Formats: sequence, C-alpha cells, structure tokens
Amino acid sequence: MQELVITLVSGIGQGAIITLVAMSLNVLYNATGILNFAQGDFLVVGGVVTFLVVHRGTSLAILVAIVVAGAVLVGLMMGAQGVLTLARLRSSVDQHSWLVTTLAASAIIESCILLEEGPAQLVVPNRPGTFELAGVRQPWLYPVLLGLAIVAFFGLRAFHGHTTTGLAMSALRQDLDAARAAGAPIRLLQLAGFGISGLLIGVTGALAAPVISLSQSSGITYALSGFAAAVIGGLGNQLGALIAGPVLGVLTEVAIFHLGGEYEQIAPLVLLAMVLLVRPEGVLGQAAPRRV
Amino acid sequence: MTHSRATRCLGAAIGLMLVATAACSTKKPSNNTASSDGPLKVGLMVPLTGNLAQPGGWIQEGVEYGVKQVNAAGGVDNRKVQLVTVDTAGDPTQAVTDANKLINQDKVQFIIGPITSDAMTAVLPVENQHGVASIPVVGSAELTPSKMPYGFSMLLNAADQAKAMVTFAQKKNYTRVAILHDNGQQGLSADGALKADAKDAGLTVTGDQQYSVGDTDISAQALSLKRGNPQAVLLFPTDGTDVGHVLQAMKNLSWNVPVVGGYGAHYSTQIAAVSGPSSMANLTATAYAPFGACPGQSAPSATKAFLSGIKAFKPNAFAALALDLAAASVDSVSIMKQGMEGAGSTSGAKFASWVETHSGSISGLINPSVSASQSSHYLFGPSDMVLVRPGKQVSTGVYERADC
Amino acid sequence: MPNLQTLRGAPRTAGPAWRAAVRIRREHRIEVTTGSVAVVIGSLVPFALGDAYWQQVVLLMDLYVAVAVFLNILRGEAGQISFGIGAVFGAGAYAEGMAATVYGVPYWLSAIIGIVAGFLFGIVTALPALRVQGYYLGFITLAVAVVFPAMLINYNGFTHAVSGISVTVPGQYTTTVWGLNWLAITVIVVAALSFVVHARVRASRFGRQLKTAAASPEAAASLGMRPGLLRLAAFGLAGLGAAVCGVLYVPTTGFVSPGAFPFTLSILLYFSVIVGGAGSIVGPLLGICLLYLVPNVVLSGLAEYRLLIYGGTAFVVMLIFPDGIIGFLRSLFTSGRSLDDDLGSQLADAMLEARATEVRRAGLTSEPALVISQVRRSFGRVRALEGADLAVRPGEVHGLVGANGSGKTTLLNAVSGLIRLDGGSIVIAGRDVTHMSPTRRANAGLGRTFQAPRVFEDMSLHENLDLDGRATELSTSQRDRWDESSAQLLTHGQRRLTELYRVLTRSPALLLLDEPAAGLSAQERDELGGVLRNLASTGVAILLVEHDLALVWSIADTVSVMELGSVVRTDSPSALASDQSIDALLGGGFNAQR
Repeated sequence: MQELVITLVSGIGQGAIITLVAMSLNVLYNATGILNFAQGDFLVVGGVVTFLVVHRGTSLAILVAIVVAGAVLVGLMMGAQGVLTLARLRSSVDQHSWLVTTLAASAIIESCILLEEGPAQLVVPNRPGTFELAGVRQPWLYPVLLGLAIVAFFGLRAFHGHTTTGLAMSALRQDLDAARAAGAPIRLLQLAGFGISGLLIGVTGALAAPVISLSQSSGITYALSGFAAAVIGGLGNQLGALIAGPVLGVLTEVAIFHLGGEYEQIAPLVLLAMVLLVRPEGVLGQAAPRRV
Repeated sequence: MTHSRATRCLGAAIGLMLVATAACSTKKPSNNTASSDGPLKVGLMVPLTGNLAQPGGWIQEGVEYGVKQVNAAGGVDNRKVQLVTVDTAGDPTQAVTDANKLINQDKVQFIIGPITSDAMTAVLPVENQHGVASIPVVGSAELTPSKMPYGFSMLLNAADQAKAMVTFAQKKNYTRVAILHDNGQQGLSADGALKADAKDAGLTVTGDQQYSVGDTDISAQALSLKRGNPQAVLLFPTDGTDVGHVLQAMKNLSWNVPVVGGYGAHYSTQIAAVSGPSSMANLTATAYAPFGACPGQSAPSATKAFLSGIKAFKPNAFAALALDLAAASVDSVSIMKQGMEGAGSTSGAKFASWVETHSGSISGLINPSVSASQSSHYLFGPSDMVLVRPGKQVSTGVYERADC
Repeated sequence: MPNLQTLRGAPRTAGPAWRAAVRIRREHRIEVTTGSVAVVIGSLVPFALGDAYWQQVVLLMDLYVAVAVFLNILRGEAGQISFGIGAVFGAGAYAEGMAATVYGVPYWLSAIIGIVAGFLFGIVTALPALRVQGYYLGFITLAVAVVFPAMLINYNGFTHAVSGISVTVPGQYTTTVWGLNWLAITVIVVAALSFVVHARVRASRFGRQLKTAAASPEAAASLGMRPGLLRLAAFGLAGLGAAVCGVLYVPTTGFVSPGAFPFTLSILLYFSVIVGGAGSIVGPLLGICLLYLVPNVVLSGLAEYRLLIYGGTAFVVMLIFPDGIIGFLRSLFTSGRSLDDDLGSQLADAMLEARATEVRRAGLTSEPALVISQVRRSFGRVRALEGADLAVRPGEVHGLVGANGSGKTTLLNAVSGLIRLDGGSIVIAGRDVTHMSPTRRANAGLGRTFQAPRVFEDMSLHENLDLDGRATELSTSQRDRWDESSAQLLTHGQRRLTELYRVLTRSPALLLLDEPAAGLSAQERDELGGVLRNLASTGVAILLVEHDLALVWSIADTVSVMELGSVVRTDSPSALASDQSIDALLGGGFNAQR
C-alpha cells in the first residue's frame, strides 16, 4: 500500500513539474517552432527567486506574492531571450541557429546562477508543509502542482480558443504564411509566446522550489525530461503533455523502486525512444502531412 | 577572383591566429626543473564549476589558508609558496590539459588535487613522467602506490570508511543492514567496499539502492529499502544536502532506523537546512579525528586555532564550510612542506620515499598524525578517523564521538 | 512479352573524362587547401617551438576538428541533426581503451576493435533516422549521448568506468623531427585529410544523392535512390570518422573515462559546425577555435567565467552570422556566374537533341505501358480516389484533366508509389507494381516531375541536371558554364525544364508530369510541348496532368477527365471537345480557350 502511495503521489507530483515544463515548451513551440533548451534553467531561475526571499518564517501570503513575482521576472527574461533569438531569423523555423542560441542561452544562465549563488545546491524550506496518506508523509506541493498543471491546461485552452491574441498565436502554428497575409503581427505574437512560456515556467519554478533540485547544473535534466514528455505526448499538444508528465513520473518511480536508482535518468529516455520508434508523432500528435 | 582571395585571407588569418596563440604561450622563459630560487609554485587542481564545485571551493579555501600559514612561518626552505589554481570542471580531459599547463607552462613543482578518481587516473601519466609529487583528494581503491607512486591522498579512503562503518554496525549488534549510496565515484566505490565488508562480517545486506546527486525525492529508494526490514542503513553520500533529503524521506515514511553515514553525513548545517536539526537524532557519521570529541572534553587547541584562523581568513565562507575537509586541505600544504624539507628536494620520487618512511614524524597543523606507508598512499588512515554524532556538537565544528 | 528494358534502349554510361576531372569542386578547393594547411601549420608550430602544453592542446583540437568535420558531412550534406557523435567518438575510444588495458590486447588490434565498435555504435544511433527526422532525431541522439556515459558507469565491474582506464601506447616516446611521434603525425594527417574527405564526398555522386535525399526524399525515390539507405550510409561514414578519431584520442591523452564524453561534447561539436557554417568545408575548424580554444585554453585563467564566455560567444556569433561565419563570408564574396538569358531554350534544345535521336521502340506494340485499375484511396473521411481506371500506351501522350480536388495529383502519387492504395492495382509494362516501393518503380523505368519543381538550391545548375552523371550529350563548355551557376538563380520555368531534363537522363519509359506548364511563359510552353511530342515519338508513354487545356489539346493523343476521384470519360481530344457534359464539367473554361 505504501508503495502505491509513494509511487503515485511522488510520481504524479514530480510528473506535474515535468508536465509544466513540457507545457511551457509547447507554448513556445506552437508560437515559434522553437524548442528552448534553456527552459530547464529558467525553471531553476524561478526557484532561485523563491530561495532568495523565503525562509522558515515567511507567511503564505508573501510566498504567493513571491511566486507571482518570480513568474513575471522569468516571463520578462524569456521575452528578452525571445527578442535576441528572433532578431536574426529570416523565417522563424528553417534556420537552426535557434538550436545554438537556446543552448547558448542555457550556458549563459547557468553561469549567471553559478556566479551569483555559487555551485552548491540551494535548499528552500517547504512552507506549505506536508500531509499524511497511508502512513506516508508527502509534501502538499505535489497535489498543488498537479492542480497548477490542470489550471494551466484549461487556461491555455481558453486563451487559445477565446481570445484574439490566443487565436492569432494558434494561427501561427497552423499556417504561418496565411497568418502573415492576414495581417497578424508575427513578431509580436512570437514574443508573446516567449513571454507566456516564461510566465508558466517561472511560476512553476518559484512554486516548486522546495521539491526541485536547484543548482547551476540541474537545468538540463529538467529540460530533457520536459522534452521527453512533450515529444511523447505529441509536440505542441498540451493534452499530451498533461498526460505524459505524470506517466513519466510514475514510470520513473516504479523503475527506481524495482530496478534501482541507477535507472532514474534512463527510464524516461527509454520510454521516449520507444514511443518515437513506434509512433514518431507522439501518442496524441498528428503526423504532419506534406504536400508532394 | 574575389572569392578565392577572401578565402585565402581567411586561411591566412586562421593560420596566423594559431601561430600567435602558440607563440604567446612560449614567451615565458623556459625554466629548467627545480630551480631553487624564487617562489615555490604549487598547482591546485579543483573543480570550480560543475557538480563538484562546492567541495572544490572548500578545498581551495583550505589550501589558500594553509599556504598563508606556511608562508607566515617562513615558507618551504625559505621559499614562499605561490599557488596556481586551475578549474578542472569535473572533466578528466580538461584535467589532463590543466596538468599539462601546470607542469609544462607554469612549472609547478607540486600539485594539490584533483578531487575525482578519474581525473587523477588521467593526470597520473603526466605527473609520473615529470616526477611531480601530488596530494590528490581521491578515495578509489584502484589508485594503489604502484599506480600513484608520487601521490598521497588526503581523503578518508572509501574502503577504510566502509570498514569503520561495518565495524560499528557489528558492535551495535546489527545483523541486517541496507546500503544506500549516491551515484558519484566515491559512492560507487564505497558500495562495493560496503558489500564486501558486510559479507565478511557476516551481516545480511537486505537491499542496495542508489540515488542521483541533486535528487530531492528519495522516497522510492527509501521505501524499497524499508521493505527489506533492515536494522540500520549504511549511507554513503556526497554531502549534507543529500543526507538531509534521505533523512526527510525516511521521516516521511515514518521509518526510524539508525543511519550510519560515510564522509559528508556529518555536515550538520546542510542537513539541518533540509530536514531539521531533530532529524539527526539517530545518525552517526565518519569524520576526521580532530573534529570529534566527547562531551566535557575541550577540542584540541590546534583545532580551535584553525577554526578561529579560517573564520578570520574567509568570514563569508565560514558558515557553509566543511571544516574538516578544509582542515585536511590546510594540512596538505603543511605535509608538503615537511616532506620537501625532509627529503631536501622537490623531486617526486624523493618526496614519496621520504613520506613513506617518515610518516610517523609528520604531523599536520590540525590532524596530528599521518599514516602513509609503502603499502598505502592515504595520508589519513583508519586511526585518523572517528565516528561522530552530527546531531550533537560539542563545540563549533566539533561533534560528539559515537564511542563516548 | 516486351518489357521495359527493350523499350528503354541502350543504357547510358557517364563519360569518364567528366567524372575524373571533378574530384573536388572548384568552389571548395580554396577552403580545403586553407583548412588542411592551417591544421598542419598550426599543429606543427608547438612541436617546432618545443612547447609540451600546446602540443597536447593542438592534437586534441585536431581530433575535435576532425570529428566536427564528419559531423558537418552528416549535417551539411545529408541534412541529419545528430547530437550523438560525441558518444560514437567515446564508444570507439572506450572500446579501444578497454581492449588494450583490461584485456591486454596489443594496440593495433585494440585500435581495430575500437573502430569497429564505434562504427557499429554509430549505426545503432542511426537507426532512428529511418523513422524520424529533424528535432526528433536530435532528441533521440541527445538521449543516447546522455545515457552512454551513465551506462558505462552502471556496468563498472565490466568497464572500470568509475576510475577510468589509463593507456600507454607503444612508440609513444619515440620521437622524430621536432618531437613528433607517430601518433602526433597520424592525428595531424587525419585532421588535415578530413577536409579532403568532405570535399570529395560533396563532389561525388554519393554526395549529390545525399543532398537530394535530404532536400526531398520523394524526389530522391522518384529518381531511383533509397533515402533511408543513404541516411544510414551518411551516419556510417560519420561514425567511422568519429571512431577513428576516438581510437586516436586514447593515446593522445593517455587515458579514457566516461567523464570525457559527456553529452556537452556532442553539443560543442554541433555548435562548432553551425557556428562555422553548416554548408562550408572549413567551418568546423573556425567553430572549434572559437568555442573550444578560446574559452577552455586561451582564457583558462578566468575559470568561473568559462561557461559565460562559451555561451556568450556562441550566442553573439549566431546573432551576427546566422548562416555561420564562413557562410556569411561566402555570401559577401561569392559571385557565381549568372545565367544565360536563353537558358530555357538551351535546355529544351539539349533535351530534344539528346533524347530525340534515341529510338526506343523495339517494335510497335499495343501492350499498354501503364494500366490503372479501380484504384481506391481515402484519407480519413476524404475519398481521394474512387475506382479510377486509366491506360496509357507507349508513344502516347495522355492528358489528364479535371477540376481542383478531383484527385489528379493523388493518382499520380499512387502511380509513383508515394502513397499506398486501399484497393485496385497498377500495372506498368505488364508488371504489377501495386506493392512496389517508389524507388523500385523508378528503377523499373518510371519518371515523374512534381507540381513544385524539385530543384536543389545548394547545388549548381549542372548538378541539378545531371545527378547521376549520365548526361553525356552536353558539351564540356556547357557543363562547365552550368556547373558554375547556382541553381538559386533559376526562374520558375527554367526549374521546370531542369527537373524534366533530370528525369530524362534516366531514360524513363513511362513519364508522369504534374502540371508542368504552370507558371511557364507562352514560349516556354511551346518548347515544352515540342519536347513532349518528340519524346512520345520515340516511344515514351506520357501521362500529363494539366490545367492548361490549350497545351493538352494541342499535344495529347488521348484525354481523360477526372471527377471526384474517378475517371469519368476517356476519349480523343476532338471527340471530347464537342461533348457538352465535359464542357460543363470544366466550367466553360475550355470554350473560352478554344
């Protein structure tokens, strides 16, 4: 019984973090076709914001304010990254310079974290506390993060389906040329994509700070897990990301429990490889048609 | 055609750049070996970036303090020690390049570091070829004196620690133990040693799990080990933050068995930051001997002098400093001085043979004794380590010994 | 029963003179020379100056440059995004190290083991490329690169990965001139030759096929190539290069451990290729200098800032030169030859000359070249083909007309083999090809052109015309002129003719044309019409999908009308012209054109 609780709660909790990373990647991908390698480092930046302010005695109200502030800060930072990344792209996807610039951005952010905070892992006290289930204590943050993921999912769906900006951003994904011809302000919309992606990852990082690994070198692991979840669910498909994250999380916990901790890093990548070999477009993705 | 002219220019530019950089580096006058004038250059190879940057920083701070102390006492054979620091970044290829630079360009005559076994394996050929002695910070059993003739590690050997941990478990009459370790090199070496020692001592190992450095959620591993119902957990971490997460996971599972930890499990400040001070009630850990004492005893004066000295030297870093690792680093500089002066030479071979035969007469500034010999190139052996209770500090940085 | 071989006539062989002359393309000669000379001189300088530290640095750099060049071949020629080449490099190195030390095998044998192991590992990382492309392929290869060192450490008992393996090599201390041992000489030679290998690949038929498959897999298949096999071959070549470098890496540093091959190495190599410019030969050298030499070696004193310098350099370079530095320099200085004004008629003439003199028919036969029976295909709820029937005889120009969305292009795609059928059959020259791959159909004598002409802009005009080297009828001066002109400059009409010419060099017996007249001027249309009639007179069967009804009516022997996925009427042009229902079907447009 305890095994089930641990596996499910921890798996879904950590999986929710992966889902949120994947969803923020998808937002950016849908708007610009760019996959941001620096996304994991932005998650850590969000966590660092919380680290700098929160200590054991901080009230929950301040905590919420910090989370919001962290989200906004990361949103602005990603907007800045967007400005620089998009600046020289002629057509936003066909040049792979963004592969280099996002990786380079990742290195730059990591070095800033290193120079500012040092190399040690940063520990944030768990203000929201823990709850007990079947004799096992788990942090409240796990179900809260799952809730955040679900709220984000519906929020993004509402945004893309019911606001002009959101609809315009969806149009970018479906047919860039048509959107341009229809007079959509492409660059602005793409920057908005960066900004929204940043808000989402920032709020995740700031909120989940006590339960994620915060250091200069931990960003890439979250980026890879987020990619894995996004790709497994179908790149660009938010429902896929929502489901794939907890699945990955639970799978990892099961692998650790039964096979040992050395499979922690390998399990998600093995699942990714299997899904890609069997169904490359992802479980919920659609095979992109091509005109011949 | 302008096209070919342009690429010709480009080619010339590339070639020029390569020549220029090569030439720049050889502007330094080429010294022959062992000049006995001028400062004694000592290389420090530690990771300042990457996963192990934190212990790298502690060792750097200790060594810098040690250099200051040695220079204040006149230096080595009246030569001031000059430290040349390089960042290995946890990359063994980088370590080779760094060692090459230190030895061939900076002309150092001694090296402190590197701090991982694979980096040490990487730099050994260069060091051995040039006869440079070193004090690395490694714990792998594969680095025998025949492989590492001029190197003496300042770290508590993983194998020695494992033995001490298993002996303690035996003394406490635990017959069933579980092993939990991290996926770094020390952890993996220790895992093998723990399994072997436990088997020799007749203990049953009920489970063996590992976690990645940096993980915050170790509940799956803890639960898996709990299922085997051991009487104690033998834990080999990287540092206190890991230990905190392990203890937190065990607390969440309401699983309260004694934990016997290897080096790093006594970093009580780090542990408390993660799982709270009360989590260490059932924790025992290995530490360098000068940092363990019984209640009522006062800490050795050398330890106290070191603590106040390094606090004044690096006030900002003091709170987070792993004091006994820094102390061992300080002692490395002092041991280097004693060895060089005793052997009358900076040559690696002479240094090594002097240290092997005279280790009884060497003492560090803080650690009183050194136990290297022809068969073991570990400066601090089983007699230089103790098991302490990290939950109970007798005085700043000094913990209550488990055998009090 | 006549088969396609008799219809096709004598096979053509490429002129040996032409092949031999172009070993390295003219525009690459400067880059290759520059790269090789810079590597040799740059590597020899530290040996001449006796600087042990820099000796090791340049040897290491040479190895990284060589691996990066092979990655550039994979990326720039075959268009494959791979973040796994560092792992292949590592696999070769580690296998060699293990064989030499743990198992005590002599160096030359362990080197071979290392190369084979690395090559095989490279093929394994290539298998996903058969299923996925683009960023997906990048992820899988990145995942492999992440997992590889972890797996080595997990099996430490077997691999001794935790502390690493120290390796000494015989002859390591025997030095010749300037302190160069055999190892250093080998490394320098390998690095210098890597540019030559790249340029040779680019100039070869294999290289052209790689580029074709990368740009348009369906065009490649329709030209008789196998894109999957080509990709595997590219990965194999890159893997072989990386494995050789890995085997040389071990004695250069004297040890090997998984910590030396983190996934960041693969990223560094990829960066170097892109920063230098993926389409260039010497780009990787510049990339490695900027991204490895500068942060790690020249500025090694500023240890904490190393990451910042590395990331900042890459970021800034990419902002200023998104095509890579060499790409940028090339765009400043390249002035290709501009195209002749009458290129279109030159092409048409060449086609007429070459193909018209060839008599294909062994004897007139009424056996149809193509029979389409009751083909059905649906895409979801859209029924694209619903029982279409059509037959084309050798020497016949058969027009296929119909409204937009009636299924004409889908039908052509079904005949080419680019889409599978839900039902029905396709028989070409008596052979049932319904389940044959597009490549096999192309090799059996089927040729086609596409709605958007497949002209490959990073090859010259001549390369586009003559991918396989079969066009022996071109004069040397024409070849040279056209080889210096980039295909980027072609007009739409010229692209059509280029694509058609290319298809014709394969002497197809059955030719499918998808709206060839779209976008052509009146004159170009007439030229095209003349070419097609001529072809038909030599026995080629032509199926022509067109909206330009004037063209169809002027050259077709038979016309079929398609509507909603099936062929509703087939008859001679004159008979159809007077049919009222067809008139209405085509919306009266025909009447307007008459």
